[in-house]
Amino acid sequence: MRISTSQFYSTNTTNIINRQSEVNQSVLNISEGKRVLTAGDDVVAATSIFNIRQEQALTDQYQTNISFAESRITVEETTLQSAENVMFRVKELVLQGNSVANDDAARKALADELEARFDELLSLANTRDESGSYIFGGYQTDSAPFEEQSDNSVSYLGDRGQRMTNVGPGVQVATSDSGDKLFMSVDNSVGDFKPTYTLNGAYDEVERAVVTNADIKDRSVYVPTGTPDDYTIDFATMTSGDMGVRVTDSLGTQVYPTLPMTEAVYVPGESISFNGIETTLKRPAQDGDSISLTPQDEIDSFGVIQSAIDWLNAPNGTGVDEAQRQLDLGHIIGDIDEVQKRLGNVRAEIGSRLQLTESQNERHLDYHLTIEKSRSALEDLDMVAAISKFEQQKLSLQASQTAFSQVQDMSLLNYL
Amino acid sequence: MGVDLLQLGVSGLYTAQQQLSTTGHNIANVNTDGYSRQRVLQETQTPITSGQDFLGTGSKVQQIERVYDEFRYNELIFNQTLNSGAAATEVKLQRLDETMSLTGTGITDSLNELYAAVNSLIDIPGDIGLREVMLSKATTLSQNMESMQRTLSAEYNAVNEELEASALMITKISEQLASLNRDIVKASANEGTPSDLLDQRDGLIKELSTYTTVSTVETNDNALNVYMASGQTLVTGTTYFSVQAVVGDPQPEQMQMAIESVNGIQQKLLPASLGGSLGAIIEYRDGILSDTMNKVGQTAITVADAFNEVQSQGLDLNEMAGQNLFRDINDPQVMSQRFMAKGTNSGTISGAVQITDVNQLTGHDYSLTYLSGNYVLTDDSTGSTVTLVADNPAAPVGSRTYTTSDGFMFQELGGVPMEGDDYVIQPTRLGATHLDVELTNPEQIATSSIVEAYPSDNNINSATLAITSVDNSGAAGFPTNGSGVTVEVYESPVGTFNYQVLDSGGTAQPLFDSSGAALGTSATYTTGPLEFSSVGLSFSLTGTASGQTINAPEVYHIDYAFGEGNNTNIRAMADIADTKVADGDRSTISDVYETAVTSVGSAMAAARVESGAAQTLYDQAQARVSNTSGVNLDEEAANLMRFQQAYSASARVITAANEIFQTILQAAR
Repeated sequence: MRISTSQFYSTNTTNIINRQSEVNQSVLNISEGKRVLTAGDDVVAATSIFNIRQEQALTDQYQTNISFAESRITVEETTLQSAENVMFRVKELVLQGNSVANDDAARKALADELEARFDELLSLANTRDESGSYIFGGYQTDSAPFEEQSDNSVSYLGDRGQRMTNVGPGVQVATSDSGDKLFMSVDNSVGDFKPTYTLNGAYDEVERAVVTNADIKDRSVYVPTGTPDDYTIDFATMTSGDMGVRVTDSLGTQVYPTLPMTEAVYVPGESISFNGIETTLKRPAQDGDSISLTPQDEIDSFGVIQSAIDWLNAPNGTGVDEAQRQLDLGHIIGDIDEVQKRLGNVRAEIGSRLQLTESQNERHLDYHLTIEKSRSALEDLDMVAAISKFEQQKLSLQASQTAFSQVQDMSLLNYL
Repeated sequence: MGVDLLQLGVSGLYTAQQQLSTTGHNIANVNTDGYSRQRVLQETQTPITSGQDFLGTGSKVQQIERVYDEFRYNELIFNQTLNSGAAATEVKLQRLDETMSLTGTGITDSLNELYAAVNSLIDIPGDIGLREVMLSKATTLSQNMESMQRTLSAEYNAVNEELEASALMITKISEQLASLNRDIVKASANEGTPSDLLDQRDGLIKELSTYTTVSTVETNDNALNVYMASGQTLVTGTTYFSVQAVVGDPQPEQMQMAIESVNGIQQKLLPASLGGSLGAIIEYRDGILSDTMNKVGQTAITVADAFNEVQSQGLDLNEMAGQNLFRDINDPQVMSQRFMAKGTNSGTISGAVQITDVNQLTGHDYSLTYLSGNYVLTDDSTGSTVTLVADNPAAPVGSRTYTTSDGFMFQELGGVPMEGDDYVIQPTRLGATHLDVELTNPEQIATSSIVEAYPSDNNINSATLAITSVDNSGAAGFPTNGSGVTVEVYESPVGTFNYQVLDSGGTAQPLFDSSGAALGTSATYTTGPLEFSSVGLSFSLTGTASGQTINAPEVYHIDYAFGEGNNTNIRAMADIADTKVADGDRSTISDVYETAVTSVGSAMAAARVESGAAQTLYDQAQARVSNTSGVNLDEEAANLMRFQQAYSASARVITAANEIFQTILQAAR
């Protein structure tokens, strides 16, 4: 087959140029360390690489969120720990104050310390984090959520909001608890009603009937009759000589025992049910004693401490006064326990939140590592393979250059 | 009587001389592009009769032949067009691939940085510094989008500039072809072959074929009629047409090629018929480049819509309703830019396109035609057509609206349509230029939700009531600071759930079902989940909420929840990152952009393969032509020897003739 001179040169030059171009591409890949520089290099791999990068960005974001969340949760936990310590001390002081040997001055000193503890709890409830936000205000973080009033009660100015943060795909964790939940809506130790005792002063017995619990057990049956839906429990000695008990509602209608009985025998420790409410009374009652039940299912921590302060400031008493004092003390101790229980429960919740963030963090770390391996396999250059290919291409280039130099000066004209 | 030996020698001399000069010509032109080697054909001179003998009278040059194979040449032209088209496509796509994959990561990166800034606000919603960071990240995203759009527009304009330059070149070529035709006709009048002129003409045809498909027909007088773009006459004999790049209709920047005759009549050339580099770059511009611009625009529109929507559901730091973070995607100016009417229309309709559902956008362009009183919409990418039905058939002409199932609505803005009018609809083409950040005050980022739902402590079931959207914060009964509503649900009788919404005073509020129909102030349902709306909020109740009879229903408190520490709405904004908001719930925002990148990559890979194949075919065709018509120096060197010998031999014959003559003269003395 005939070949023209220009075709001869053209073919050889094209060969060399093509080899050069391959070498150049290899150099580019090796210097970048990547096999896939643009989507055109390997479209299927490019799609996977992109998706992996997006997943990594999301995972990194979750990890950042986790570290923010953990620092917020830890601040809350330390504060709650201090609050628990305050309540331990409060209970200690109250029990100390119950010792009859304490004189008024001693109890006054205890009351003073209790005041200091009250202030300490108030200040803990108004804790601010490093950004100046009040951590227990719910969503109202820009101003102090707890405010002491002139009558020593504390009002909560925040709301029930609970901040959450995303720590994983579809996984959220709470990073705050509202002051309402922690301090203001503690369960009433008695249940759904608050008892107020009116004791018959004619009797000096210190031990009197006490309401241990009063709950709305069956809401489907419970129908409130008054606003508020008060109930009055009256004790009167029956003609048989037993102590009788009778309950009337806020309108004066008898609700226990069911008519036509006007009284039932009072058995300390047995529960009495009426209108879906169940209440248990313990200890013997005196004739004429009366207990009034007002609906109240929540107590506030500050109110409890204030009650304790007021109780310590009141003088020791004897007889019926002491009975009243002991009944009040019983409920104060019960309420303090509930405050502690609430703090403890939330600390336990916080503990499990931290466990969640930790396990999510572990997952993210593992996941990141796994998909990083996949990405590397797709995108990164296998250096060893690339360099040996590069050597091969270099050799090809050299060979074509040598071949060309040897044939290019072969011409008949050299011999003429 | 014999033939004069001297004459015989001289004729041989002349012939050998001619052979030598032709060989010299070939050698001199060994590197001339497009040169076809020439060969001298010798033949014997007319013999003289002498009795019964024919006496030879020497040789003469019959013709100087141009070694040329028409079929191989036509094959070369054909492959040249294909190769130049494939090469042009590859070059353009390589540029675009690099732009999207390398500089284009700026968009994905700035989007991720915006999400990161949003997430930092989840931690401390009230921090002004962090809010400013988020606004600045949003601005960076907007700038990156705009700069990508500018780059793509520059690519678009580069194609147009190339079209204009090519038009000039083609016109020049056709002018030169016409004048060559004239010269060749004159030169061929005496049956000769004007080889060098023919080579020149073939060279021009080859150059022309890089731009477009070329076919030629030779006329009887050796002129060549040249046709381009699958049959359009470019040169006939000595008449030539010029080629122009003309503005498009209705989009002026969508330039087209047109042939213009001597008296100024323009004929537009269909892009599909062009072939060569012209066809390739037009297809690139109207195909993958426009698609990429549309997809980038779709990404921007989806971003704007998603963020603006979440903003509207929340309250900012000053307790005001969240305003648009980005420019409204249905700003009146933007809406009218999506619709274009052709200049050749006889009707006067002007219109606008409103995007109604970002999730249904396709990223395609559409053509609209008014036929037999109806608008017919065609999807340019899939080819599917649908006849549009007016939303309100009773509306007067010029104010009708037509909702489509591709996420947008077309509305007439005055004028009257005429039969056969054509329009173009591009819902997303300019999206990336309009992603402007409208919020300037960092306090305006709506981090707080407006309302929250809190289940009562006395609830016994684990059903969840969620607020799915805030529809109208001005509605009667909408929760305000200190005055919320409660939702009560209980089961009675078994299987039937009763529900109502009570305001803070205990008054039942009107209820509406998920399509907006009124249900009264209390309603029932049997199978969950329950979707309903009331007091300007939409709710969804999942789970079984039985409660304990009418005395103790399951209660959910809906309270006004604004607070500096409320991060519920900003969390919803962070969720945008991995929520599928586009392509019919199949893609996240980043996925939409990535589809654009991989489409380009995939086209690039295909173009590379095709270009390689086309190059091979072209090289082979070129080799064939060259091997037939090209000069081989060794061959010419051998010929030199040969013809030199012939020359020497003929010279010797003349010497011999002279000697003979001298002998005669000597003898006669």
